[in-house]
Amino acid sequence: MDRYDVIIIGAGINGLVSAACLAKAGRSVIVLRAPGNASADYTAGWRGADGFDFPTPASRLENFPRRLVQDLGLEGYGLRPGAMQSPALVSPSHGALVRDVDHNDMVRRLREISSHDADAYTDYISFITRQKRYLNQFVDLNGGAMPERRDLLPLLASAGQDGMWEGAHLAASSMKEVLGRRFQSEALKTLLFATTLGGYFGGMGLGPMAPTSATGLLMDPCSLGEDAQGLGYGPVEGGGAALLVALEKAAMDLGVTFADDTEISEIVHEKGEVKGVALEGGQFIETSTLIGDVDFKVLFLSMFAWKALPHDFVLSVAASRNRALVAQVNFVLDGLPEISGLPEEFLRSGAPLFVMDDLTEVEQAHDAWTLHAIPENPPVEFRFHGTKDGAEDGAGSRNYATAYVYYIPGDLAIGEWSDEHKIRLISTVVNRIVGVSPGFEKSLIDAKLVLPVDYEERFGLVGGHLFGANTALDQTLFNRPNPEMAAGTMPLKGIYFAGPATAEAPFADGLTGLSVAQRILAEPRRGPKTQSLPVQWTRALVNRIRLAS
Amino acid sequence: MSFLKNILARVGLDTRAPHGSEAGHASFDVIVIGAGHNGLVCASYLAKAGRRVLVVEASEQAGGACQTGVIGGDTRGSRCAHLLRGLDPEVIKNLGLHRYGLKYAARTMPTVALDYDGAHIIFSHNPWQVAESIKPHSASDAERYPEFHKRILQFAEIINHWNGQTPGRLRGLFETGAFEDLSADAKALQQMGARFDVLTAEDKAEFLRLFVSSVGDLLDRSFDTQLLKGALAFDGVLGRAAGPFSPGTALGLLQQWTGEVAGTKPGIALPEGGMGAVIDALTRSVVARRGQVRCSARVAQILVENGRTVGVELASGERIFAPQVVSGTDPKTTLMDLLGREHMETRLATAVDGITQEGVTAKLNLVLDRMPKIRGFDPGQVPSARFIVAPSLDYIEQAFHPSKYGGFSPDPIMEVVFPTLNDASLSDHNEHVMSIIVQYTPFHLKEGWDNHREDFIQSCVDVLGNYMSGLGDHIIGGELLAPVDLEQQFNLRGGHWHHGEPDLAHQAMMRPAPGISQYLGPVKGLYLCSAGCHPGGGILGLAGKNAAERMLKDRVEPLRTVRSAHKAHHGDDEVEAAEADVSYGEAAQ
Ligand SMILES: Cc1cc2nc3c(=O)[nH]c(=O)nc-3n(C[C@H](O)[C@H](O)[C@H](O)COP(=O)(O)OP(=O)(O)OC[C@H]3O[C@@H](n4cnc5c(N)ncnc54)[C@H](O)[C@@H]3O)c2cc1C
Ligand SMILES: Cc1cc2nc3c(=O)[nH]c(=O)nc-3n(C[C@H](O)[C@H](O)[C@H](O)COP(=O)(O)OP(=O)(O)OC[C@H]3O[C@@H](n4cnc5c(N)ncnc54)[C@H](O)[C@@H]3O)c2cc1C
Repeated sequence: MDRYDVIIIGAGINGLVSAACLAKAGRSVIVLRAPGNASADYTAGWRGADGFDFPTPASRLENFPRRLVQDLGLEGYGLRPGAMQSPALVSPSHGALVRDVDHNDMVRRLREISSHDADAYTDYISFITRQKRYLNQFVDLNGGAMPERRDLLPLLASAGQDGMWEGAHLAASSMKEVLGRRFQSEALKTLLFATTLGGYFGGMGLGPMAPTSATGLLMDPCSLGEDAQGLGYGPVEGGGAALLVALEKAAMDLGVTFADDTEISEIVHEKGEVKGVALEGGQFIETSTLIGDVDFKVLFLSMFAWKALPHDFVLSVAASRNRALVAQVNFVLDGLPEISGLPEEFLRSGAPLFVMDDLTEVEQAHDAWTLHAIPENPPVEFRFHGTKDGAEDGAGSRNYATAYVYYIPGDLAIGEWSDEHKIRLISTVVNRIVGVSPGFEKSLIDAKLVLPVDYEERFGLVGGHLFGANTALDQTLFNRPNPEMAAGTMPLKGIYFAGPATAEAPFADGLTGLSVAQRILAEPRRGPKTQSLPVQWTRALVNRIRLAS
Repeated sequence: MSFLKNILARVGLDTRAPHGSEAGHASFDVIVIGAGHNGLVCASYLAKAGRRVLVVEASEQAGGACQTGVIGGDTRGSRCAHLLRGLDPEVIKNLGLHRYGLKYAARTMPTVALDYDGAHIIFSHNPWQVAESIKPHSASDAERYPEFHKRILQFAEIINHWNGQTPGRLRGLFETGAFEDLSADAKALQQMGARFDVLTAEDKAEFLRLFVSSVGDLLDRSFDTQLLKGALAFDGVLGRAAGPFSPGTALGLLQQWTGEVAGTKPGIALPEGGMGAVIDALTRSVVARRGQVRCSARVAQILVENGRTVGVELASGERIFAPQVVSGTDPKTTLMDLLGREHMETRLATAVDGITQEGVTAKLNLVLDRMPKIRGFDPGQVPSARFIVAPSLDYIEQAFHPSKYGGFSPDPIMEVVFPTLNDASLSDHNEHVMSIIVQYTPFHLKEGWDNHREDFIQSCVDVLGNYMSGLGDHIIGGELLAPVDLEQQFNLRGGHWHHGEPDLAHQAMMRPAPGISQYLGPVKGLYLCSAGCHPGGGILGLAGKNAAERMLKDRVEPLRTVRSAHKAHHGDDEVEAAEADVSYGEAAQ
């Protein structure tokens, strides 16, 4: 029988960060990886037709803390954070606009369009930077404890003088209000909005006209100066996979054991304490500390005999909202498309190109999504990944690109996603790109659609939501993924949860892994609470679960 | 308009000449702009405290959105607001409104969530009774409802407590220095937290989560029955340009449930004689306290001298002076049009610009020759109730979408009341009034309202026809008040129920806008008391009450000019005299 100080289920960024940090502190650690997940997870990408890994929307690692790169010596394992790229927008009605990462370049560019907006942009960036500093009062990027609910009022009150309320007002407002009040150029408003789509905002499940949607502006990757959050890398060379490979190597060198192709039968517990993990083959691994880096619904609803857990806990897990809204179309092309209004080298840089008209159009796409329908004009983010010479099979060189499509419902009101729906969505996306890149269709060799349901199947994410739970404010900070779990209430002693649905996760990748590791190292002082849970709103789920069981 | 005169005569008003001495000559302690219910509540409290109060109202009839008027033939009804859902019991008591004639025609009205098949869900203050009507839809929802009801009421009680308080200011955001009183802000915050503090840890968590939740998400995690969720969500979005999945609408539900009528919570009442009766009682209470109410007196400008408010100038050019002015019309109009940008810091002006104020609520008032049959009720047995058409969350969401882009849905959500079932005084010919609130009706219709009124009315009647067969045949008159009409006829800017969207960014200490809360205007001596202030719209009277309390706390610096202004009024150089004579006298309280 094996025994480890810590068992980690799942080898995502957070699981690997925890593993490395705990091993570094001298704990014996084993990481259990599911079949087919030995080296690739959704951060690494989506394996395409000829072996190319198309990044999922979660493969951009602008938010990986610098501190972890240093502490774990990841650059020594080949991690090469690239420079920040400048995204661009092409709007059929409002033309093309590049968002220079360099502030002065951007202001110069804007000055040519509108001197009002150029000034407003400077003011805006300093405003967002200031707000991020307040955000730091909530989020400790060194992995310390998140503030608790009861800290909120005093925190807000004490921060009054510093203009914390300005942040509260921002967080309560809509994107459209905040951007509309500051800027005149529709293209600029749309572009500033668009750059938040792939991050925290994309997880919220809101449209740009919804109250609280402006919270997404706080996580604008282009204003993530070091000053603001201590972050600030560009995309990692080689994508998310490179980060995972570096983390894995670091963990191995620190003595972490990896067990591949493991299928979990059950997490075993006794008298309210974790005892170990039983595997499908009958093997048992003993531990008193377990970290789940898998979707928390999977963790609590399928890896336990759930009847063994407190009923209300199970209900509140099930009640958390995880409505996915991103899909992707992976393209194989025989040429590199030209984009009207942008220089040729733009796409080559790998920078994201947003194709959408304006915020009203985006809101309409969101409307369709709320009603579980396919939007007519969904916002599209197009990224070119690279070229491969096709010498082997005699074909010409091949180019790979992805269109991330937003506000695509996981399930449709009219029934299952049929082939007809899929073809319609692919042609919608292709047409959008053709609209800004005439002739694009001629370079098309292959186009494959990846829907939320595919993410669910491939990565074990319930509902296919890459954050594990929507990031709207009612599921953020001390509400994430629900108030009990955010407060550290766990059904068993010795169990920790490190997926993207934790309070820290939306703010920086790997932060949860770090935080969990620190909590474990600080035991027994800061162990999880084991109190029983209050009756929650979630009774509605009793039946569903009863039906399901 | 004989009816109008009747009402005015009843309450001792004259539509033309000012009351008492000629205004401008009279000296007033306070001028109240607008005789909406909040303006009148404020006036009455101030008059009760001995202040000499003048209320100036633009329309020929007081009341603002609380109106009884002719809606067809000579049948009368509440033209805008039609149900009382929590006129504050303190206000009623303090001002003696029952003594001044306020009566209820019905006071514990149930809410009927209309079901196409007649299996209506009937809401009342008794949750177990409600559960009975939920049973046919879902036994488990029926079982869960009482607990939900209890919890929402418990949370609503906290909101209710907050509603009656002046919220702490947003320090640091728009520091003016003028009214610096940091300890008071801290205290206000603390007080707002006091009720919250008694909650259990779990309830605290849930309460804070509700603050930022949408009512749809709250209901989705609570119940399965679509009709139940639709009806409850209706309260969350009522009067707001928000859909059931817009964050902040769970708070809307709590706010609607704060209402208490005659000891019943949540209470819904029908004032006898229509909503104008509330105004009549308030006006009487003002007049009895030697206050004056002048109608047809539109304020064109708030007069400011040397950084303080000195009075108002009417559209007629007449000037009336007083050391304090409080506005019961919406904050945006008050600050931007009556006061003027030049009296505000740029940031404050931007914040006021940022108030969204386009209403989505229309009123359709119909006169029927007899009561329609309502599915599920025996003829003649139709209860006096508030009927709701909102069969599911998705239905509401779908009704909401077009309004964002200047259109309306052919399937709107509606709230229907037949006041004549309880109140015979409204019709002389046994006709029935059907009073309908229709949402989501855009202020700006893309194609313009002129050619689309009939389509609009037709879709409302068609949808209602699903539940009330033959409704169309009984209609003998009526009026449609789209938000544009509400603006035109009742000076309700943007036709907005709340005088400004009560979204999360404009609540409590951020209401009406960040940098301007606590009922204080940006200029000394100027106050705000309308639905645009905390705690928002609806006929609560609390903005008026809170503002009056705030004003009574403040030191009044008298205008030494009152007498000279009086003189000047007859002279040629009125303006100059007023300017020259304003001074900052000693505190005289
Ligand atoms: C639209 C969108 C855009 C995003 N964009 C960004 C961005 O730009 N920048 C950013 O920093 N973050 C972004 N994120 C979030 C980020 O991708 C995630 O927060 C992060 O990947 C979470 O890592 P993790 O280790 O917690 O979980 P995961 O990466 O989910 O790791 C869990 C691992 O466990 C495995 N597993 C599942 N089931 C089992 C099982 N039964 N047994 C064993 N293993 C199992 C999974 O396959 C997976 O490998 C985005 C998310 C979304 C939705
Ligand atoms: C269609 C509709 C239905 C509603 N239904 C209900 C309901 O059933 N129950 C409920 O509780 N609430 C309801 N409401 C909301 C409620 O009626 C309002 O929130 C409330 O009446 C606002 O009161 P107030 O005193 O703050 O403002 P108002 O009633 O708007 O009063 C403002 C007054 O100021 C006057 N004024 C404006 N400008 C000037 C000027 N320059 N000079 C002098 N006077 C001026 C106006 O004429 C008006 O009399 C409804 C609102 C609408 C629009």
